[in-house]
Amino acid sequence: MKLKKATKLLRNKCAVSAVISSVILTGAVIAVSFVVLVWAQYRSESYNEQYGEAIDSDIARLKERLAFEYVFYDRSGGNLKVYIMNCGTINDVTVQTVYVSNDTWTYSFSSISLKFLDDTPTESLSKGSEGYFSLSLPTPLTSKAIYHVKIVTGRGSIFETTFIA
Amino acid sequence: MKPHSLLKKKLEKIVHDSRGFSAIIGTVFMVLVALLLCTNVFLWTLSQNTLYNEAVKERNQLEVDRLNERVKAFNATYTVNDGEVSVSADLQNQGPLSVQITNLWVKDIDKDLYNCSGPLDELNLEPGGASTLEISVTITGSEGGDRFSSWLITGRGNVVPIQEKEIEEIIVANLAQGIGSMALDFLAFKYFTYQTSTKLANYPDGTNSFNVPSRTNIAFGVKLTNLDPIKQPIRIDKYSQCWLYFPKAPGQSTVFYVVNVADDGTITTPYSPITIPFKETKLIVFASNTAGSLARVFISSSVEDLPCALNLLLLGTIGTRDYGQNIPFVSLYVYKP
Repeated sequence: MKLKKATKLLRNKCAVSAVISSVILTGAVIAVSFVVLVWAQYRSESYNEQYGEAIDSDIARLKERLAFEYVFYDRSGGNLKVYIMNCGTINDVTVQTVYVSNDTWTYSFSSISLKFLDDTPTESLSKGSEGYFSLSLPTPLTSKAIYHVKIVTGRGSIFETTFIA
Repeated sequence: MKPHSLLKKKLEKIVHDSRGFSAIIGTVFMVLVALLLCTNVFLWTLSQNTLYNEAVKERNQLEVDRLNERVKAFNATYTVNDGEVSVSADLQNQGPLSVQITNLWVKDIDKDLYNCSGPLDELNLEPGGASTLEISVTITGSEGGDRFSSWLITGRGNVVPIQEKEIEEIIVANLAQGIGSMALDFLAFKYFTYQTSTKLANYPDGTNSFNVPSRTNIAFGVKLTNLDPIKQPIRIDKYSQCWLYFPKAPGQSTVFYVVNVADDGTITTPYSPITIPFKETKLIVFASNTAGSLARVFISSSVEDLPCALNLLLLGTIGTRDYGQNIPFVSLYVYKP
């Protein structure tokens, strides 16, 4: 009985074309869906990666903290020495840019030679370590006037202090 | 026909209708994909936000701890010996947290010199704890009589200024009752020779000695500090002088009147009164044989190889009142050059 039905189905050409078309269509849909899945997965992973990097960067920045120990202006040489300490909870704090300003002007310095207190050059400060950098100011500072020093670290944190020349 | 039979019939018709089947599969698939991806992104974002919030909390806690640090540093005294500035001070942790002291900075206010001790490894203060700080810092060029300020750096990045010993205590300790408001720094006593007729040689360093040459024009330099208990400025007028007398040569005495000296050592005339504000130290030079002008002085050869006493006779005003003080105690020996 079953064999007879199957033979009848095979001999019915109209029914065979409908099945084939359904199979092809379903296959195509599944294939396209997989492509979309892979693409979307790739995009979401890329997004996750970028978001993760941004968050990691923000967290690292939050952990950075610099304390100003002393700012000394050498009137005879026109040099400004800034003594700092890494009192944050992350290593490798670098000094990217330093701004010295008052109410009317701002000087920026981007090539900063960081040194430890024993004058050993260093690229960065680890946790708890102290160092300093020296800036050669293009114009002399006014005695007893207030100036600002702003440090931008390699991770983008900003630390500011004021001093009296 | 009953309603539920009609519904059943319609459902059977949809199931057995092959048309639109691929669209259903596709839709289900897409929904699943979208759900999976959204869940993935949502969970990842959530985990990252949690990490960020933890970092913010940690940072806030550090800031709170930093703000809660309360260290009092007081009773500072400074002793200078050959460029080594010994700082002694009392420390008290008045906050609820342990405090680690990491560095001590000392500044010579008079000479604009400074240095730090470098990392202090074992200076920790428990909450409520007290300690005494005894640290030496090398400041090449500093000498006794210079004024200093100092401050500590804590591990959390706070700066703790060290308060100097109260002036009343210094007065009690350093000035006997009745001596007066001006204190003389004996270690900084010096004399100068002349480079030209009006310019002192090697000013302001001079020669730190209590042995002085005869037959040579000289001037004396003393560092005077105003320690007036009621904190008034002292003005020194032209009659202030440095007076030498020789016990073994009665009648022999030499007087050096006060003069004004420019930064390069040039003695300027006429004399303009010098004011020493409270707690400030100034180098005062005595060089002239006449009050108010410059007439160079030398010690006579008749008193060579003799000791003598040196008295400072200071005259002027203190605040709005007249002022007069005699500061003895310096002894000199006159040698033949």
